Amino acid sequence: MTPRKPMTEPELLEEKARLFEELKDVLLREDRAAFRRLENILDNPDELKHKMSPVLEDRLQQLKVQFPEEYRSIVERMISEKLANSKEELLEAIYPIMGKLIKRYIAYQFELLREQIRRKTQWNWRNKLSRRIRALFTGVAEDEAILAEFQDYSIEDVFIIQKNSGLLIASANKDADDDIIAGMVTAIKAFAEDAFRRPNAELERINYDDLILLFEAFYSYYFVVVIKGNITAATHQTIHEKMNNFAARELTHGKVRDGQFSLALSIKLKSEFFDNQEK
Amino acid sequence: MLSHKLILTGSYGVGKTSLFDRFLYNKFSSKYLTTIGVNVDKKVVNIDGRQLTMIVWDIAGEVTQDKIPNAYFLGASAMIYVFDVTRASTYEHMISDIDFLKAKLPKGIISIVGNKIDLVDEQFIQTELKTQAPLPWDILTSAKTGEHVEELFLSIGKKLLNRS
Repeated sequence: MTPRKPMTEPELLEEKARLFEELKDVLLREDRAAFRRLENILDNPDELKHKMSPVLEDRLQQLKVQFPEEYRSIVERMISEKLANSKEELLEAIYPIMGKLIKRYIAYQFELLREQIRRKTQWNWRNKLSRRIRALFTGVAEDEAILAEFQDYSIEDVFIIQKNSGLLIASANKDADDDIIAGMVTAIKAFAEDAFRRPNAELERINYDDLILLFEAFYSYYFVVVIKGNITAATHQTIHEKMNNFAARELTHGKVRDGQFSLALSIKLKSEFFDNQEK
Repeated sequence: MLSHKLILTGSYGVGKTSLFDRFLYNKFSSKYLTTIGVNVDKKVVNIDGRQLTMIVWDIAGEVTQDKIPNAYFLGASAMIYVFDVTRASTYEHMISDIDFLKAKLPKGIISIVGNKIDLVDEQFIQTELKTQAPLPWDILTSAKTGEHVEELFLSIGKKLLNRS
């Protein structure tokens, strides 16, 4: 066996480096394999999705369970702030919707009334016979004919008035005195509501000779419809519906906030209540 | 055209309705008719080429302002607090009344007006009234002669127009 030739200094250094590399290969083999696997997963979207989905799903489930507890106060605070900041707009939007709900209730009550009338009229055979004959010739149902006897009216004017100030916002038939009427009805309304102090109550109607003033209050404004003649619950309901539709469509908060008279709104109001006036 | 609500308020018999009548109709009646509830009327004024509709609410007088229905104050842009220069009882609650009105109308214009100056002389104003009135007045008027009435309303109108 030939004795090994002693290594020179550079050879020794090279040998040390080689041995170190071998050692690294042995020690880091598993880690490097794991790293390559991870690299493959990260570079491949499908693989990544496959691996992450259960983790995300699990985290999502956890979040669903913990969300009310962990985030309730934050969400509540955000909602409270939003509500406080947009209270006026919110109320303005809600009023017509509330009006529709009330309208449905009125419609239901009106149906009950019709039923009562129908039952009452059945006993009187002479009336019944007379109405049946009329119904035969005119095509109008008996109960409708009874109601029509009370329904002789015309809308004389419609006002939209800012609730607090009494300033006129719109008038269907603009007249020089409308500002004064708006102020005065507001004063009367305020007086009645202040004097009798019924919680959540509003003045709804004033009868004067053959005129009826119907009041319909929204959040920051109210309608006054001046009617000449008699109106039935059905007519009241129709008018109510018109006011609600007009309010929901035209009276956004910004339009009524400053309480200034709007000619454009008045023209629309006139069109709503006077064009093709239905009875 | 801009519209604003103005309120005439103060104790009873100080001449609120007389100021109202003088400004709106340029008339005066010496007959005293107490106001029941409120009178509402309007006047369109032209100030420096700009038009303003003043909706004036003449409120029935009360000894103290807290007796007046709260709703009457709502939405007002300006208040004219009237006292009678000849009757100390009409300005003895002035400080609390003005505090009350300021609370009702934090951003509005409040004008303190001494009325019926046709019944007193300059010496009375400069001596007795100046020492007795709890707060300085903005203007002194006479609804009977019309002195300073137009000026009172127009100065308020000007302030309102400048604000808008």
